[in-house]
Amino acid sequence: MEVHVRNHERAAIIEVRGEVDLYTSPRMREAIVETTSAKAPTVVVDLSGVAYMDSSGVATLVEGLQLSRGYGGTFRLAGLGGAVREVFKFAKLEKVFEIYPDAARALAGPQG
Amino acid sequence: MAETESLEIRLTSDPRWLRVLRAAVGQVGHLAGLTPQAVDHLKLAVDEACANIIVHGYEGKRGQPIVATLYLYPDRLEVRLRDFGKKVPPDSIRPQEPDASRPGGLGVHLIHACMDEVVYESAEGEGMVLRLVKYLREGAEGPGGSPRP
Repeated sequence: MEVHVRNHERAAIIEVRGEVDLYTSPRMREAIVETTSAKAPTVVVDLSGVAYMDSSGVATLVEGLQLSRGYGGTFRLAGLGGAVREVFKFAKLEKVFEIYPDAARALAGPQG
Repeated sequence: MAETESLEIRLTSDPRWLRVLRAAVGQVGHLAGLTPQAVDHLKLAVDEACANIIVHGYEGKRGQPIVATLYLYPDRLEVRLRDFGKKVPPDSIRPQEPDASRPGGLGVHLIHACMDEVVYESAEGEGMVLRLVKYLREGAEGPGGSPRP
């Protein structure tokens, strides 16, 4: 799994690629903790390159959402593929997160 | 009498093996004639169950044995996961309603959402046995790729 963080104006985009499971989710968590510790006003996690995610990945994203809310930030997800979206549906988290089709629209937000 | 077609995979309680196990389980799912979505469900359930064994059964200790046996029956694919870790009353392992403020208990919920039958049993001696069943639906391909009646 690969995780890259890039900054775009007032937002941090965390690009995740590969399979997110108990072994790899700590790397995604590290990037999320780093960007939320820096209090990025908007954090976008781009999951368009993620083919698989288990509950440890979902729990990491929930933690990211809670961390960003802690300082008044915005936490958005982008590019959920079919298998990942289904995990969110099973977990009843589709309404908890702001979910966008891709990173560009996630950066633009609800007004975009 | 012929034995049931089966595949046994022995792994140790290291999260690095989960990806390898998922790939193998996925291949068996395809071989059994499951739909691509059912294969995804099977992989997720087995992954979550093994992650639970590693985190809870063995409390994160590496190098402990897990045996995954996959059985191909005419009407179903069954996975039995055997560990030799902490024993817990089978009735105490229940799916919890998802709660965004406490995402920790999500694994068991996902296992139940993905499989047709989920049965926890206390094993002889140390550890637990988890039996996961996925029925082959009408219209799906049968084992070996032949159409099911």
